Amino acid sequence: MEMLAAKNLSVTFPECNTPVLSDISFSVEAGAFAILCGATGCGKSTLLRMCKRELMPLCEKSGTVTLEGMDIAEAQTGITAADIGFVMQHPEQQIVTDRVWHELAFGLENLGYPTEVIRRRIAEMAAYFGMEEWLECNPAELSGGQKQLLNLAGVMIMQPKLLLLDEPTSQLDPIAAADFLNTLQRLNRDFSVTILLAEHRLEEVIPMCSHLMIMQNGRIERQGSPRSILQTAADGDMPDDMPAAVRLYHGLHMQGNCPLSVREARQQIMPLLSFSRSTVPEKDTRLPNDTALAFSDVYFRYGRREKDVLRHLTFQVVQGEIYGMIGGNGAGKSTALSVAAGLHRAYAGRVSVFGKKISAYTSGSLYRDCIAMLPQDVQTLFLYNTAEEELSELDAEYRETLKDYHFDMDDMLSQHPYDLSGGQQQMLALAKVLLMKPRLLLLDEPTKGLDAASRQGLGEMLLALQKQGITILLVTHDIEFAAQYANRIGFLSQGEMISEDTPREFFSGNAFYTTAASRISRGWLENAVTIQDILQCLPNERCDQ
Amino acid sequence: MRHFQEMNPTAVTVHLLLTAGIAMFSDNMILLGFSLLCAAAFYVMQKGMTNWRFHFFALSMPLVIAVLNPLWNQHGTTILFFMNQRAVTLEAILYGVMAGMRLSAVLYWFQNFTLLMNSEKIFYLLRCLSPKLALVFSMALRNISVYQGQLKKIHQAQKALGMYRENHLIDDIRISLRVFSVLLSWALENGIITANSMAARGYGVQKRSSFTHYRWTGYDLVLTAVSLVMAASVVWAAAEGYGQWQYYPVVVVPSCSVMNIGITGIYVILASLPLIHEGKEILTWKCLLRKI
Amino acid sequence: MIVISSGRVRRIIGIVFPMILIPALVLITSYVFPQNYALNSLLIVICALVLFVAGFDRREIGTRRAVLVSVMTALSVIGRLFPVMKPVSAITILSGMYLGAESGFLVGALSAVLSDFFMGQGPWTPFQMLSWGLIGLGAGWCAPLLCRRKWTLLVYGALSGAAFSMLMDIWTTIWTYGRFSAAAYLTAIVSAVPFTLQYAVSNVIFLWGLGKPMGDKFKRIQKKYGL
Repeated sequence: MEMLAAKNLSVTFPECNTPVLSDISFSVEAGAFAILCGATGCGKSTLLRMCKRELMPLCEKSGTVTLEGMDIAEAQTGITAADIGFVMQHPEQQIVTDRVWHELAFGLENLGYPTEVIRRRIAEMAAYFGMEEWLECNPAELSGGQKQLLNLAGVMIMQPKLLLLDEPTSQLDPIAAADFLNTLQRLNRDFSVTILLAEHRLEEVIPMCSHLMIMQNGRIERQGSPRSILQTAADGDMPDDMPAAVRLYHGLHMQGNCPLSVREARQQIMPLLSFSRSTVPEKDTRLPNDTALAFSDVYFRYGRREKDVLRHLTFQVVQGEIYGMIGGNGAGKSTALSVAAGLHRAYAGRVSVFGKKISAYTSGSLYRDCIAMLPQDVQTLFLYNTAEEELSELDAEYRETLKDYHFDMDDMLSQHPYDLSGGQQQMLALAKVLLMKPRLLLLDEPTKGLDAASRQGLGEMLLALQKQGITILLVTHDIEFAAQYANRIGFLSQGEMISEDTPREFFSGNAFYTTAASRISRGWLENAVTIQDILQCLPNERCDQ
Repeated sequence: MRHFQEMNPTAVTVHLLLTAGIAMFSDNMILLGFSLLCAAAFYVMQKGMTNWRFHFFALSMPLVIAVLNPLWNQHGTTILFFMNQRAVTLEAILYGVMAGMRLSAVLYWFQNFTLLMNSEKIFYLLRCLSPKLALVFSMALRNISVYQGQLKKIHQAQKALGMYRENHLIDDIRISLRVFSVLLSWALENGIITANSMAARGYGVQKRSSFTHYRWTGYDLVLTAVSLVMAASVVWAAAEGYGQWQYYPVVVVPSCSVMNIGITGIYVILASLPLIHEGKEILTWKCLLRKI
Repeated sequence: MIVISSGRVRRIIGIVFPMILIPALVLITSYVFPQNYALNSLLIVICALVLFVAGFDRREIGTRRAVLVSVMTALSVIGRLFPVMKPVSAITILSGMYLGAESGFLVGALSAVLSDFFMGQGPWTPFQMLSWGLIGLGAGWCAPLLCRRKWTLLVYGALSGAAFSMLMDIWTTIWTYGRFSAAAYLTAIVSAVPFTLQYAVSNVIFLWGLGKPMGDKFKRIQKKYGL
């Protein structure tokens, strides 16, 4: 049975010449787990919104969207609100009220349900999602992952037939994201809820889905079962963030069944390969021995009666390197960064920046030509009406100052910072902190919410900065990014530095906390951490095919 | 064990407002004395012996107003002495003491109110009056906790831009204006996501119902009824002129008639209901423990 | 109130309660206790607030406007918790100017209740609600004038800061002495001069420093939200 379908849907925004969506037709079966993927700006969000009447943007529209054969533009209002659930990207801002139970009740209250029904449904939802313990909490106290689960539960409580999700995991850390996706899969499997998910974190979701749609420039280029699409797709019309197994398959130009997960790649591809060598040569990076930032025996806690967040933390960042600090949630990564930025003061131990104690930098001299920090939430930096004002506030000659870094931002200068995409906001914020001419740049989760293309852009920017002699300390959950761009990795756990090494040595030493490529090649190769590494170890003629 | 604060919010509010309300319009010094005593005792019972500043402030009221009142008030006949050619009368001083006790008692009752009623209960009350406003109230409360966190993040991010000197008054003002401005942008721009999320869940589709945890038990009804009856009888007696003190031109204390004492007696029972309730609960609990 | 399932009964109570019961209560108490200014003033203030609230509930308020009111209220409560600057009136004024008189009243009144959760509730809360509410309402009414010239906005800010302090002094006088006397009121005003100045000056600084950028932000939001 067909749940959701669009027929020749075209959408043009007012004051725009080119359509955002052109001639889109698709159909999603009841009980399907469908994925919509494509680069940022390809129209994924608009398409999802066109399927939810309450969120339809102001636009010129032709064609129809139907839910169970009924045009949603003509359906009764209460029905579209309840039958189509919608979860958005930002966990925090979707929450409306100040109690978890009230948030769950919100949707039912809107539809005028009586108290007894609401009480029962809340109890049911809380039991299913395991949130009984936080029912009385203020949502502000919850973690990002819990907030997003709450948003999902707040929609599910209305018992929708169709669930639309617009990049729901992009702001979550990997563990919370996996949790969220597993919950989705459970809902789909146990209750046959139809799911349409726009996503760019494809590593986990591709193996789950039953229907895949690839969008490009406002068109659906391909749709069908994921295996058949990925098998026949040419390199050009696939988004860059496909699972490692698929990238390997395409990198090898193979024929036959396309593997979707690490397991399938290990079973189907790896035994067929004959490697010419079993180790990847280390990149030769010689760096000066001067330290840019040194922590020795640092202890920190937020309050006198609280637990230590940083304990016996000792590490050094050498001048000119990109140092990636990784670790789980609450390991103290962001805290370490803010101590390094002089925003918090350690109660024991020594922090020195370019050989000088951090407390010796007085009255803001730490932030002039020395350290700059890119905060996790880059919107905390934006104050003005246009991107240009944001930059010229710090340096009227910003073009001259930023000349060497090759920022590509001419078309965004006249826009409002909040109108930019996530990746553009990140670039603008980076440009802004670079105007302080730092020698040491601290980055807090810079890849959060970015798609593959923007991540690659950022990575390249970091390499360019490194060439200019800027030292970079990068705190991230994104181990794939760290593996690709960092010179050294430090693994933080419970406020302590557990191990430090080059990415290859570090990730090949870990069994669980490591990149997908490393998991695929384990047992065949010793230290491959990216798909590129695996391809490098093959005899040359194989690669040239 | 069900504490007084776990009773139905309406019952608690009705009781507190009646008790405080009667104290507000009474000029019976004995009644006010008991009111102050009950309110202060309940406050200490709930919070322990903390918050000395508040106790000092509230309890100094009778003294302060007793000193201040004669300065504006020349009513009264018993002249004690002259100050700047103005008569200071005994009646004015006594009236000041009474007004101070009244203020102090009301302050304590409101402090108890703040202790007993958290935002969730206020929301429950407001919801009966206007569900729409109650929702705005709840959203504002949520925003406050979110913005407090965001304010810290913005402050750090802006500080790390290094545009301002530390410990410099003008720069402190400039940075707080700047931080506030960033917060304003952030709050306004991200508000649209909240609005979308509300619309997506059917807000405004039809008349809302309003869900609540709180239930009415027989005990709550009894408490409310008892409070209402007692308060009504006190107000009726006061309107009939019983138990009224007169301060000007001379102090007249009402006679020791049954009605005059009765009115105070009933009020004292009303005001000590929370204390009685808590005492009863403690006793029941102890008995239960012994049985186990 | 007991949860009333019948919508009609609820509606009737919704009309009877604010329109008849409360005004009646005010009249009766002022007749029975003519001497008790404190009680009467409090009842009148509560009556005004309840009337407004009841009117609000019957009005159609869009989702986005409701969100904006909650955002501005939260901002002004946060502002009141700031150490020296107390930009509550300033934010209320801006809300009144850009969101309309009614929303301005709401932001002012709600910020008073909510911030008193942190500063302490008391019989003064309804007075604060009314005072700030009126400031927001006035700003909404004078919006065309205030938007045109910056100095009118600053003057309004200074005046409303002072007016707030003086309105609250009426409360102080009535409550302290049981009746209103001009001499006592004057003294109260004089003794509150530091506070009056603090309110007025912080409003002016705030509106002077942020009036323009905030205006720009509001205009953008009006466009973006389609208000």
